[in-house]
Amino acid sequence: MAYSAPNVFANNTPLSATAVKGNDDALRIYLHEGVAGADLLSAAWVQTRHIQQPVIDAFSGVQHGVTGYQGSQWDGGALVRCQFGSAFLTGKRYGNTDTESWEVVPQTTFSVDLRRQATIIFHWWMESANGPDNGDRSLGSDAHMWVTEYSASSLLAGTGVKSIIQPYSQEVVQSYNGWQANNPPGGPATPYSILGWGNMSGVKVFTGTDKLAVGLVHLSTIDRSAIVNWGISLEVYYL
Amino acid sequence: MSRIVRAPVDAGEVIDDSVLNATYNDYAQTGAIDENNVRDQAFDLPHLNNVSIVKFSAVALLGDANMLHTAPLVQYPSSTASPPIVTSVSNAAGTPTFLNFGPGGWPMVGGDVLRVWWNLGVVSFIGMAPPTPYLNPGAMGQYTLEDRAAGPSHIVTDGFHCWLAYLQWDITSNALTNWVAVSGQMDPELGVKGTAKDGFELERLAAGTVVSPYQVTSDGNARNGKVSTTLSTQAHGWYAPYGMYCFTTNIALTVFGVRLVITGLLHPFFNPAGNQENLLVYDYTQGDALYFLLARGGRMSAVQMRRS
Repeated sequence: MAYSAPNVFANNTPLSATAVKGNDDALRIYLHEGVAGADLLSAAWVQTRHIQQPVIDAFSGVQHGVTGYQGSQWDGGALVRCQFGSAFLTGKRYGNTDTESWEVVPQTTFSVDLRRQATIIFHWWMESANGPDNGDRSLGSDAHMWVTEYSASSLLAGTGVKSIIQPYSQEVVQSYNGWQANNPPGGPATPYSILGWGNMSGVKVFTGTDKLAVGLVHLSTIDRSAIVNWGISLEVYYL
Repeated sequence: MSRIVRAPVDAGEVIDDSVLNATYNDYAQTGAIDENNVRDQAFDLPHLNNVSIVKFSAVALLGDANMLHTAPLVQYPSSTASPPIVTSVSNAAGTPTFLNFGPGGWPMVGGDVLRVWWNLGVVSFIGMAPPTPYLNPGAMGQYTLEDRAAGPSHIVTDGFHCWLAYLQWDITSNALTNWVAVSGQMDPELGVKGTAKDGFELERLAAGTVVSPYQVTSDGNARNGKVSTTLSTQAHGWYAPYGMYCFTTNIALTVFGVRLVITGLLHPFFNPAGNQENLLVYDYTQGDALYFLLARGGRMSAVQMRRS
């Protein structure tokens, strides 16, 4: 019920402190416990900035607001963060379908502390120089580096098992057409071409409800891949 | 603007009944209190729109769940004659793989946004002999290099031939039998823009990604624009093309599904007549039963988001 002042004043009558205080007290009570839904403006007025100030993690570049998270990282800026992939990390010089063989691409992981169920959209891209390489493989002459996203549903120690869906992965091929058996790189006479340059881009859309980590992993049969440009971005929307 | 914005009484001003009564009566109104007057979570919560900005999301596996380029793989044919072949991405059994938004589809109202992303592992396979389709008579993009040893000239290519992958949707029914190019994208047009060629307008490829099939290299030392050895065709190997599409609607519609289709081979073409459009047209001289795009698996993801 709307506020109604208990005391009404009239001209040429004494003004008492009791009457003014009575109105103030009634108003205080009304504002604390008497406001009814019908007293409120019908149109929604609350904006997210009224509820909670965003929290920004300067190192990871992740911002947590009311409706979710956002953030991005890239190879440049204050730090030079070129990355690499290598068969020497992922264990085998030929294809392996064991998800435990995938290794994280350093610095490409976001950690977010979800408070409720949310839709997560993780974007990434990278440009890499792959090889040259002529190592021992079982799948023919070409070696590849596969990259895909991973997520771990909990950040608690010992519980963060990576979730990887291998068919979603993307690959780049090594630089091989400049390689000569028993006579490695021949210089300008046998130039490397753009074949060893790989440009990949991906998006992972999934849901989460708890603390999680999301980032990039790779599996490689190339001895070395230099990831010279890369970027990751995160959108999280609470459901 | 709130009605309760009365200025305070300053020293020296006369206080009469109208000032006092009006001050209190400001609060004796309904439908007037807003964020300028009071902040309280009890008021805030009923006014929070608790509907997520994400209305729908979906992910689908494209092709076959195969990472290592071993069977099963899927072939997408090159077009040898008009009309061109447009093939939906499918698994090796021939079952199309796409985003199915269910019986009710994804209803969109004005201002809603549809965002789609996809990636797919592919390699352009040239099984024809010799593997030099750019030498076929009438092939687009040909030019000639002289041989350094005064031998025969070499016909090479500008390397602009490409496959095209683009998005189609069904906005008719959940029967998913009415696939058409998404908004901003066109399906191939026979005699595009009045030319004698089939193909696409470049300005209507909003959901298209081109896939380069091969390159032509010389292992010799070029000198004065001349080469010393026969050129060789080199496929690009397996790699992962990708695409992104974003659509904001200004009308109500329902999207029942989104799929990726592949067609080729095409080559850029400038239409000198009419409005002088830049086109991407089919080069049927490149068509061959042994020249196809080979694909493994990939992914297509989509979200629909509301305006506010």
